[in-house]
Amino acid sequence: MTDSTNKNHPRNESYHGVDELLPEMYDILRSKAHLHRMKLGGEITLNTTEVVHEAYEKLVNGKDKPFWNDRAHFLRIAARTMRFILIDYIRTRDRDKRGGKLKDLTLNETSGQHLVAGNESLFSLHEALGKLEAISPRHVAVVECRFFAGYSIEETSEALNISPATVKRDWTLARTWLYKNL
Amino acid sequence: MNPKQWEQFEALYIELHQQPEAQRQSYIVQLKIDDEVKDLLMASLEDTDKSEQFFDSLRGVADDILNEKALEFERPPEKIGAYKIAHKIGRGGFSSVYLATRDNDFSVKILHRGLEGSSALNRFYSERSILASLNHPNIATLYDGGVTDDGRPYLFMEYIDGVHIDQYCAANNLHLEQRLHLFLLICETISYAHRNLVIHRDIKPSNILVDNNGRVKLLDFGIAKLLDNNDIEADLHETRLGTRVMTPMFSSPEQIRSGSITTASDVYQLGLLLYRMLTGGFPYNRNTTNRYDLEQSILNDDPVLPTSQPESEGFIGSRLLRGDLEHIIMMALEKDPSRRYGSVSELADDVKRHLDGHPVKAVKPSLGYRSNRFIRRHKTWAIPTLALIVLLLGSSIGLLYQSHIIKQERDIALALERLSSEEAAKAEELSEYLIELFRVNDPTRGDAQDLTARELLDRGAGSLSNRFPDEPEIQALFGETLGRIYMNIGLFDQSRELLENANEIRKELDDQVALARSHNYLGSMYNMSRNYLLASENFKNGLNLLDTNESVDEELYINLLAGYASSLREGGSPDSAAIFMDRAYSLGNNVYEASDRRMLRLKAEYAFILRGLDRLDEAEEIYREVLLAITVPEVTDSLTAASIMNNLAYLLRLRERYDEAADLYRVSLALHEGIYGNNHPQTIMINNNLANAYNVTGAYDTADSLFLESLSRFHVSGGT
Repeated sequence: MTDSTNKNHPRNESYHGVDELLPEMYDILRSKAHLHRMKLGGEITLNTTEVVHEAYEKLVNGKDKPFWNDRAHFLRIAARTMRFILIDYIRTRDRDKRGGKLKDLTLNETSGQHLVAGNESLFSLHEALGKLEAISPRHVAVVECRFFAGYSIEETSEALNISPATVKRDWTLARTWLYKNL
Repeated sequence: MNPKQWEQFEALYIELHQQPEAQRQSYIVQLKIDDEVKDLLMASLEDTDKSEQFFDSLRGVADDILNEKALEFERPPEKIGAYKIAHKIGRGGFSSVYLATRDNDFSVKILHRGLEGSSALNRFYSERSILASLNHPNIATLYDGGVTDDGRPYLFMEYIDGVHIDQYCAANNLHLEQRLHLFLLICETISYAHRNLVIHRDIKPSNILVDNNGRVKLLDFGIAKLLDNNDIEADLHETRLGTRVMTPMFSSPEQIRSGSITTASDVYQLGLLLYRMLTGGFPYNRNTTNRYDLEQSILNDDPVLPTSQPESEGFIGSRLLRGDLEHIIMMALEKDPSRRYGSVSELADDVKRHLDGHPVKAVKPSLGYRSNRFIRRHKTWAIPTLALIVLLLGSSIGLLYQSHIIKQERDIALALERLSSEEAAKAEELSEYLIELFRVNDPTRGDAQDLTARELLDRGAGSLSNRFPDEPEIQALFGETLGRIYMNIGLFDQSRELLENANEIRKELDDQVALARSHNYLGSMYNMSRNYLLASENFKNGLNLLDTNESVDEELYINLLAGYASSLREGGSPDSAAIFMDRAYSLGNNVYEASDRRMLRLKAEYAFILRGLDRLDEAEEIYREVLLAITVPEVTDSLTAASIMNNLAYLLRLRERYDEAADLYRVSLALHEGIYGNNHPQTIMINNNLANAYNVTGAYDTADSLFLESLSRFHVSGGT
């Protein structure tokens, strides 16, 4: 009579689950967008942190056979998923531009420019992270948590199971390297 | 830069910050290291403000992009061709429907942003071709289709200014005959679709509109399916996600289980529709916002009889429903598709027979037939449950015997005499209890169809303490057994209540080993329900009990240790976890054969913990041992092998042995494909891992094509 080994714990390491979380996140994003529009008459002010937390509330409280092991695991997957969402969107936009289908943005001109320059920086950040992955995967994870998901030091420490002091140091070192390599 | 240099960078950075601030620069200068590392260290001193500012502003950009993305999800184009797009009239998971106007009103369905190139797109085009192939007065007409300027496909359809069919019935107070004629019209329409090889799969009141003139239109063939499609597996998964974004209330049991979907699903949904049109109600537990609970209810609960629905708007009255109509509805709602009406026309014919006053074909199921069905339908675990209960019957008597011996040592003769009579009484009592569990004579159940396994469990749990008020051992044993069954099917709330109760009872008794075992059950349950704090408390209690107890139950002790380690690891204390796992591991080595599955499981667990602690050499060695052991022919457990390969490959990636990792991933991938098929998330994950491994080795082309493959599989499997 042995029950102490948890059968429901697939030992999937790293960040697997992004595939599964992605449609859920899109769905949340879509319904949030809808809500915000209803409330604020067209003004949407979302941030990545809010969406991730919303996802956590919705998905963790729904008993829908989760594919993550615990909160920390969820936070890790969510951070990487957020990176994927943003980069994928930039990619789509760029492709549209190349195809000559550039549409007017509803954003005003200044923030529009901000966005174009930002798009490129974000994309090169993503590419630089690809290189960093081969050097130190942990630092990539820290960047995903701190930057893409906007987690606090404490949340990042929880997600990655490293001390807050290490988070701080990792974040500084990663920033230094990325800034030089962008 | 390579990982070694990075390590150096990290170490020196720490050291650097132990230097007085003024001396840091000169400290760096005097270091004899690569220029690359030196430059970075310098930058870490000089550029921190700049890099911080840069990342702060970039974070603003990230939020902007997120907002833009969200906007794109929502915003319709202002015009399509010469048509003005007015307000939104409906929204589904993959598309929204807007009112479009020129001379007349039309409805236009536009795919949501961000789904171009996904399976939703295929579904959209499939709806278009299905609608184009159907030409029926009660199916909304398709006029045109195309692609908007921003690349989203759309469909122009007939606009129907109407209300949902159930609301129409209720609001107009239609009498029974009118409702049945409306329903027959829907049946005829669905039959027409079936004759054209189309299954609707999403029949629900909100997809059937009735306008002021009483005209009925069936809408939304968005997840409809052509019968001759061969790509069954991918397709079923798609449907699952397709219904996921809508209300799951109207899913048929086989849709939830992702079994084969045939016209029988439409029969089921028509049964639900008729139920709704006549009662205004829903036959399953709808007092839940939790999808999982709802699905469980649809899968396991008997539908509430139409006549038992509370009076509400739209309720036609139980007097009219009793008998034939109720039987017709219940037959359409059979959980087993093969027990429903064979076709929609058969269902319609029975309704017509009722209207004409002829006897219907649907009958009230008999009692014997019910219990047969219980076994047949729940074959997979009805038998183990029965076996368990029978086993339990034996073991509890054994246990009772023991405890009585201990208690009444001083008067053995008397005890034995008493025991024999008590035993007999208890055995009889227990068997009566079991028989009662299976008896379907509860008056509140009325004409309920059959006894589900879940119900059996609930009955067992419910009557436990009443039934054995003076038999704590039996209560505890039954509680534990039922609690563990609940645990294994993932119903943790029920499991917790039973196991905690049993634990309380055990505390009053004097069998310390049994109490420790009960803590082990509790710990496992808490681990599974991710309450690691309570899990570790219980494991610790169990361990303490055994530590102070003379009798030895090695296996239990090992399980407690391993469980404790696992709860510590998940709870964020990997170092302590390793200590306890180490103990479990070395004890296991003494107790189990090396090839024993229990030992292999311990090893895999141990390696996992070591890996988390960066003790990669040891972890790798153990993983390899386990792999070797489970891949010998007589133990082959390909699923475990595949997942251990995945874990080992991950470890090898950490160690930058990418080629070896790729080899393992390839084998693991083949195994997963064999077990789960190509489009299962688990398989896609492995495919993706393999791509990652190639990506680092510089085999970018291979990596690229694998990534693309993952992505397309992912799309086939219904993701967006």
